[in-house]
This record gives sequence, C-alpha cells and structure tokens, in this order.
Amino acid sequence: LVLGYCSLLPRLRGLLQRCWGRLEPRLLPGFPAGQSPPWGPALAVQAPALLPEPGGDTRERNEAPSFWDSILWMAAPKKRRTIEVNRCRRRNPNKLIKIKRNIDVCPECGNLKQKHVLCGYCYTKVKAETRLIRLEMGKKEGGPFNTPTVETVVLYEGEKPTGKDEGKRIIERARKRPSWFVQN
Amino acid sequence: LCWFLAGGAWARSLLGWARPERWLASSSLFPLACVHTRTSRQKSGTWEKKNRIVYPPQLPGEPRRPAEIYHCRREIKYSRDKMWYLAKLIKGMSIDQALAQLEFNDKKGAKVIKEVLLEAQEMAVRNHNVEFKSNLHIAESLTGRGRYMKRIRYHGKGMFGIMNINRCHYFVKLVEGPPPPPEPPRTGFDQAKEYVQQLRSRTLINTL
Repeated sequence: LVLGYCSLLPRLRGLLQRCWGRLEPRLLPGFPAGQSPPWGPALAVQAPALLPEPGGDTRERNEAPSFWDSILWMAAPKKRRTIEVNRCRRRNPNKLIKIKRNIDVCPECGNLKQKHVLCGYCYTKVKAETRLIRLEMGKKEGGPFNTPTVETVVLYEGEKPTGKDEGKRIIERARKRPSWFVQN
Repeated sequence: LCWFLAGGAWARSLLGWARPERWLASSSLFPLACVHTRTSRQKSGTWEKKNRIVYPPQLPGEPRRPAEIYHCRREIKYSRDKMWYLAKLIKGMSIDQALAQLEFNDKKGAKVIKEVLLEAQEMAVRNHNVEFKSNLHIAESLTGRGRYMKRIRYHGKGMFGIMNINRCHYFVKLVEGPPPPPEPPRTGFDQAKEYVQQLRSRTLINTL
C-alpha cells in the first residue's frame, strides 16, 4: 500500500498542475497562463479586476505623437491638378479684374478722376503750394513750438492787408495768386 | 566656355552690352564680326519685326486697310500670370478706356502697361501715319515668360526651397479705328440650333 501511495503522488501533482493550467485562463481572462495574476489587495466594491500596467501608460501619454506619425492623418492631394482644371479656376470670372465704371473727367484740369476721390493732379498742385506756404511760416517762426496764437493770412504779390486782417499773422508769397486760392 | 565659342564671339559674350566691333572703324580687326551682332540669349524679337512689314499699295477699289502698330516691353520684373489679368482686362477696349482703367488699378503691372500704351500711341502718330491718337483700339494684348532666376528660399529647421524670380514680357497690338462691338454671349437657343444643324447635315458614307 505504501509503495502504491508513493508512486501516485507525482501523478497527482501532474494532474493537479494540468487542471490548474486549464482553470487559470478561465478565472482571469485578461492574463495568459504564463503571467502571474496580480493577487493584490482586492477592493470591497465591484471594480475591474485588472490593474493598470504600472508606469507603462504614463510614458506613452507624455510624448506627443511625433511628426512622422501624424503625417499619416494629414490632408494631401491625391492627384496632380491638370492645367485644364487650373485654368478653369484661374480664369473664372470672379477672379478676373472688374471694369470700373466710376471714372470721370475733372472739370478743373481735365485729368481723369474717380467720382468719390479728389482729382490727383489738382491735389498734388495744392499740396505743393501748401508746402511752400508752410516753409514761409517756418522761416517766420524760426524754431519749433513758436506758433502764434492768432490767425494766419496768406497774401500774394500786389495784395495789401485789409481792415479785416488786423492782428493776424501775415505770410507773404512771392508769386501771383493761384486761381483756385480764393481771397476772402 | 571659351573653347567652343569661335573667333571674336567670346569677347562679345563676356560683355554683352559693349560692342567692340562698333568702336573700331569698319570692322578692321574682326572681319566677320558684323554677321551676327547679338549674344546667344538676345534673340531678335518677332514682335518688333512685325512693325517692319510693308504691304503693296492698295488698289483704288479696295477698302482702306487700318494701321497696325506692334509694341512690346521685355523683361518686366513681374509675374506672367499676374500680368495676364491686366492684359485680359484691356483686350478689345479703346485706348482711352484702357488708359483710364489702368490708371485706377492698384497692381504694379498696371503702371508698366500704361507706359507701354502711351509709347505705342506716340509711335503710331509719329511713324505709322495715324491721324487721331484716340482712334486706336487694342486688338491683341499678350504676356510672355521672361528669363527666370533661381534662388534659395530658406525655411525653418534647415529646410530650403528653390524659388523663381519671375520676369515677363508684354506685347500689344493697336489697330486704328473704333473697337469692334463685343460678340453676344452664346445662348442655349444658339447651341440648340447648331445641334439641329449638325443632325441635319449627317449623310451616309460609302453608299449610293
């Protein structure tokens, strides 16, 4: 009897090991038979039995998806746009320059002007004269911050200051009065 | 480069703008220098040659042939595609209308084309026997590609791209007379008529 009992033990051990091998995957389906299950302290509340892999996930989340990974999801042209398609887009009427219908003739100088804009030629004429008047004013003042607190009157050749110009600063310009600069 | 440029041609190609054969009196040193007096890239433009054609005198009964003036400007520092929009704008207009439109256009090419049109107008009155300078209209206006230069455009991270410095030519043909009326747009009715005409003109081939 003792001999029979001694020869049965290793067979029993083998049988038990095989049964445990078959049961293990069914008890914890998340782990294949080779790994050891985490028989750590279990929660009293129903919680997922699988614990998160320690340290492995956090490493992945810290790195941003690199450029060479994200190019797989970027928009890219599939086919070359033919010249016919390109022409249709470039020559579409909404891309052509529209004809301007608001161009008129300036009654003063005869140049072209847009209806809602001052005539360019007349504006440059007035600007040049204004610049010369300002130079005269600068010469009279002599330096910065010397602007007098009275009005200014511009007098051209052959003009005398009238009674209304009492107490005003007079700027002399050595030329004939231009036709567009009306005297008060 | 010198070994395959023959004779005095290598001296000319070094300084394309200087013409040593003109300095010397009557080509004494370079006897064959007068044959081709341009560098390889300065092709004689076909557009400039068009002004030189002379028609035979017209017969008394023929309608008067309107004067045609060809003018162009080469190697304008502007893009050919951008210039095309301006050329398309003034196609078929009278010269006064074209000048008005170009004056109030904000593009860089508008100023260039305006100068070209004024030059052509002056040429017409002086050399081509045009009576009224306003009596001209633009029959053709084209753009062409000039010589491009390639340069490096530096991007970040040590990347680079090769960019083109674009230049273009502009060609214009002025014709004397009022501008032709614009042709009416093709309606559906016209298309249908043409289709019916096509169907009616079908015949059987290789039969009696």
